[in-house]
Amino acid sequence: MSDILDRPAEAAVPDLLPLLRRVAGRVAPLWPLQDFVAVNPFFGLAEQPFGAALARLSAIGGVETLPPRAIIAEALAEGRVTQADLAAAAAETGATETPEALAARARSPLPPRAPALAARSVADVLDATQGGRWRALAIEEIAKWCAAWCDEGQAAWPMPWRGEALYGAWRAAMRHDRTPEAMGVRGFRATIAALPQAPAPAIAACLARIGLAPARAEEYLHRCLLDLAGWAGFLRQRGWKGELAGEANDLPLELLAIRCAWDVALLAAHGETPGFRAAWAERLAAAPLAAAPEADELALQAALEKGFQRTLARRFAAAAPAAEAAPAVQAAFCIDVRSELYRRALEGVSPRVATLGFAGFFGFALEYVRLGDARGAEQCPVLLRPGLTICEALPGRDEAAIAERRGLARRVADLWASFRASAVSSFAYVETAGFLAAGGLLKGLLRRKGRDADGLDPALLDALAPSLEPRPWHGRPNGFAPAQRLEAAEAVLRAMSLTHGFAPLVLLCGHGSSTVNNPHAAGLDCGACGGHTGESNARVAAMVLNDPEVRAGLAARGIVIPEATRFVAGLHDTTTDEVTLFDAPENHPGLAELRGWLAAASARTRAMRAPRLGLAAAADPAPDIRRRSADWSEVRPEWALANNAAFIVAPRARTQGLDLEGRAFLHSYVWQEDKGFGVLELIMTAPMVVANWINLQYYGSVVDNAAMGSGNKTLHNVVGRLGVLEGQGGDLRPGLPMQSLHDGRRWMHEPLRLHVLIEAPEAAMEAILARHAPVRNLVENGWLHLFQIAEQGRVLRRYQGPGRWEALETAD
Amino acid sequence: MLPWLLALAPLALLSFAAAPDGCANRHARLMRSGALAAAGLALVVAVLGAGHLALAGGHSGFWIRYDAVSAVMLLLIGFIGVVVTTYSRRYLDGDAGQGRFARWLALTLGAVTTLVLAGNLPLFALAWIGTSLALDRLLLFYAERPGAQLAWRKKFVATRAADAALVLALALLAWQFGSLEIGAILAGAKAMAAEGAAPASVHLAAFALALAAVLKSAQFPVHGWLPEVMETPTPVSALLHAGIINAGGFLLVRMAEVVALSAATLDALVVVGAFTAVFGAAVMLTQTSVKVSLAWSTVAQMGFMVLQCGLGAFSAALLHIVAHGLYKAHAFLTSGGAAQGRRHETDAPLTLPALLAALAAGLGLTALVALAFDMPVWTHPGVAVLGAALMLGLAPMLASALLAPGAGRFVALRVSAIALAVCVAYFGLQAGAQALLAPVLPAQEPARGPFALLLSALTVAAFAALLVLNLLRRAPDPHPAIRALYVHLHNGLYVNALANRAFLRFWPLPATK
Repeated sequence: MSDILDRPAEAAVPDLLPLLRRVAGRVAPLWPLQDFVAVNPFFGLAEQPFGAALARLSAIGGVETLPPRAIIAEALAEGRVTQADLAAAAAETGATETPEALAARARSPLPPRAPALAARSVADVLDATQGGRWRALAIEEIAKWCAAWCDEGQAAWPMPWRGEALYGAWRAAMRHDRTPEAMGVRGFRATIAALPQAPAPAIAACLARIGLAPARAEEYLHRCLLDLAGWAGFLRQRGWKGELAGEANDLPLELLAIRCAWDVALLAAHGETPGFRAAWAERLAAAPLAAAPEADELALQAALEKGFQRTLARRFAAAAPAAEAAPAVQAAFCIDVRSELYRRALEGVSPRVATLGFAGFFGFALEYVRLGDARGAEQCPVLLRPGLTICEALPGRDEAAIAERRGLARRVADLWASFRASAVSSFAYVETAGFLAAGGLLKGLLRRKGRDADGLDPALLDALAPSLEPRPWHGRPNGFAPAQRLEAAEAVLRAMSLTHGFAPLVLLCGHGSSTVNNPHAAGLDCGACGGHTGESNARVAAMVLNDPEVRAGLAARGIVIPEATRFVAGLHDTTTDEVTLFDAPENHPGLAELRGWLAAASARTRAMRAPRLGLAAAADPAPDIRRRSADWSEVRPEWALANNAAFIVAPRARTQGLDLEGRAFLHSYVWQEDKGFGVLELIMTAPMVVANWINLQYYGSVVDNAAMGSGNKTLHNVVGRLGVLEGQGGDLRPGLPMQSLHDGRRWMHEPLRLHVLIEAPEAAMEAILARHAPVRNLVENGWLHLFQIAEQGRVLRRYQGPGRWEALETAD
Repeated sequence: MLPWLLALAPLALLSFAAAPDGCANRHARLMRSGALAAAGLALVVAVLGAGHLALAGGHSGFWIRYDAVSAVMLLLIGFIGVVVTTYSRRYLDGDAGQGRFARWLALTLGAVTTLVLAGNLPLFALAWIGTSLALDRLLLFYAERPGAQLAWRKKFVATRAADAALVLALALLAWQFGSLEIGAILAGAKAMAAEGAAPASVHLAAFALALAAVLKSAQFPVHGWLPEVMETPTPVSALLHAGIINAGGFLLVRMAEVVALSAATLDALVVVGAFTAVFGAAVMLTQTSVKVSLAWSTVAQMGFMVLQCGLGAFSAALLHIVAHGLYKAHAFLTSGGAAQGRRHETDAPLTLPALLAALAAGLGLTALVALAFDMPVWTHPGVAVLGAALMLGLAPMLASALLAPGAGRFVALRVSAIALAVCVAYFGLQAGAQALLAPVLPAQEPARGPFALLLSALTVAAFAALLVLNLLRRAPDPHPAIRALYVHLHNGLYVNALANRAFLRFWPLPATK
């Protein structure tokens, strides 16, 4: 062993950086709670085929990547999956077992996973030979310092080395930290102090110290990063803007260096313990990882999907063509699966409403700055960067004075907050203001929901509105220039396939949720608006489209909007299913009627949702649903996007009248109007990818909630104002909590891959796949299923590779 | 009539012992509704009892002792109990163990209700031990979590030591006063205080009581389990931090007549309490997760409460228990919103001249308001120490508001008004609590020697040191020693790490996968 320990850190390290960056690219980014958006946990593995990537991730991380078999067993028992599905799935995945054997397989639980030898760390091998908890200790201690470095305002006394890069800051702290030594890692501080000062050389030195050749270290490094996948993902997110601009993002490497350093310290302290030496030698001699796709397991997954596809194809084939009539209202909703229910309800209320689906930011990628704020929130999908800054205004009031007063009120609130949180004053705070908490407890008990005016007169809250005109804002540019408005308006109307036949009222309806005391509240809001509500985007869109100059410009470009047509912004509260209108033209003749239809549709939608919420069908679900949105102890306010399974890109006529059970993202698209297929390209590269991220977020959180989900909501502990821990410490938790996936009796999400159904010529879709490697990877590597809607929906044809589109069977 | 009414509260809650865990889980909805009904009944009893106490007096019998102290505690526990059981209904909905949870929640509440009403020593001891055993079932609700096991083991050892100290103390008291009834013992102690001399056995009993309280209320160095019990659902944290952790403080206040007989015991409480308060508050500053931060705040606040007892300010201690209970229950139950809302900028730079001016202002304000409430600091050393803590606490806020650049008159006026309101509320509440509790507590300031004065001065110095630390750490480029101190405090001075290692060695956790 001493030869391993004493081996010098080689001065001439082969350039490790490409390998390290490849490993860093394997972890999925994780957004902070304020802008919590869905992320594909397999992001970074998409260039590998689905089955192979899952097998590899399982082997490296020791995590589960395939659905609980009970889900498939249940589908088999209920007849949703047939023996024929199993046979077809087996043929597709190359499974060797017979359908009967596969069915039997589904009835027993999955065996536990263990990491492959070729990926194991020193901590893993120590745990195995000593029965200790070294890996857990390393994770705990590293996570503690990640939290201190990343903290966004929880600790009153921030980490003194926050200004330095993470690895350097950690090294500085480790000159003083005695905890590892107190826990039995002898010489920890000295070992760390002897390591190089920069992360990449440190990793190289660590690999040399543990005796692992860089060429064979990829699995090891990947596993090290997966040990702290949450913090690694958060660090990746911090560098995300740079990645969008094409820069390398080396923040996760800082963390990787820390994790490797821990392995070296463990080796230095315990390398000579009996049993370890031989075990580590065996580990170093392990054959390279060759994780073959688990064909039999994959067949079960594929069979589950085949069952869904058959039902879907049958529904499409049986659809009756909708009657075409000039609508009184066109209502555009977000593609979100929750809109599917509401749209169906609204159309059911009145045949004079036509609905559309489009990404909930309505094409306006903006940074929205609240009154008096120095920074705005990004209201657009995280794959985009906001193109404009819109400030909030108070039309007709002394805005500057009100904003200044808000700043002062906030300053007082800050001082009061520091009186509460400071060391000495916290005692006096408790003895005086502590009694005020009795009121807070009563409010919670009675579910009174406060509205935080944040230093503003509460009466003004409803008067706040986005301003297209620039406002004075720290001398920085903002507002929407007239020329830009026209460009944006044209782009969004064409992208919605809404260029003629305008109704007198066009509702642009964003969405948001309303919950209290919920760390993951933003996760229920609009992902297309960066984890915020879609209110400001919808209002800006409506303002632009109502602008007479914009209308004139549009007419010159061939989009004639009748003068009587008004665009109205709305917000669909997905928790209560109420719709609120903004800046509504009160004198418009159709408005009262629209309000009535919306109210009726809200009631219908709640009734449709009631069974999944466990509410009796007979009773009015509204009181319970309202309670959920105001109850501080509610852990299941709504099911959000659970059970999502399809993304349908077609005119609404194709899906109108179909009960898609709130499982489908619906994007309006008329390919005949899309010259050059620019709109299709946009749909397949942006909303389709976002839907895939959401779909795989749910998939990952179901298949291994401990690794890709955030665990039990009742244990959540907000850390650094940015994320959650489960319990007192450990890694930052990504993904969804169990309570968002399971009702205590059964899974509320069926882990199917996304079924993308597009009505467009095959050649157009293939051309887009050919041009965009990331999208092609998703399709051809099986991260989603692509179908063409043919013959007005009577036939669904599955993409099997360039030029190969295979019609789905609709018969049994 | 009154004792029968009061007995309803614990009996209703303790009746849940009849339902075994498995049965409770199968009837989760029934259990959770039942637990809420029992908790609601306990609150009603607490309110009616308080009304009776105000109009027609309390009760002192063999089984039940109901005075202002019991009434205040019963109201607090009744209210927190209703809040926590209501909260758990939805919060644990769908959990396979919800019925079991409701059961042990009711039993814990029943045991602690018994504790505050107990009229004799054996019942008191049983309730004291029962509270902790029932709470253990809640702390180990997710028993498969290693963190939960480790924290519980540390708590288990500290609590059993506390039990032993309590039983010793109670046995000595029973022997010394020849009665098992708490009322008789307190009366005997009062008589002893009037005579001005207490035998050694009473000193020993007082010391054992103090030891039990210290072990039970997570004082340094046995605080380690408290910040680690986040491995169980949030309502348990709320109940623990708002209700159960106060058992130690309640013991000191309940037995105040006895404890106050021993000046050495009071001195020991001052030392342990002051150190724990300063230590906990300093560690709290560095914590990055909301629940752990709240837990360290509890360590600090419990230290402060023990300090108050040590200073003889028992009414202040009871006031603190109630205020802290309400505050901490609310803070835990709303901790899910910690990442929402605007981030407070709480780290404004401070300059020494600004701080000194604010200190002078704070001193003047505190002294004037104290005088207005007829609590001149020079005759009330206890009030002086606590008032000094108040003054030191107000200073940074006043300094930032009055003197920091860029703050307008608006901020200065508002913050001055807040400071005045805090002072008035502080002394008003203290005076109110004293008036309410005077009949059942020892005379406010037991006679103390010069050593106690020295300790008081040291305590004020320790709080002042916290303020200095606050100033030094906010410097643009903090001294290396301050940076090192940050690391040590972030780790809670390693007490917990050492304890964890010892526990893992001698009481290893089962192997994990």
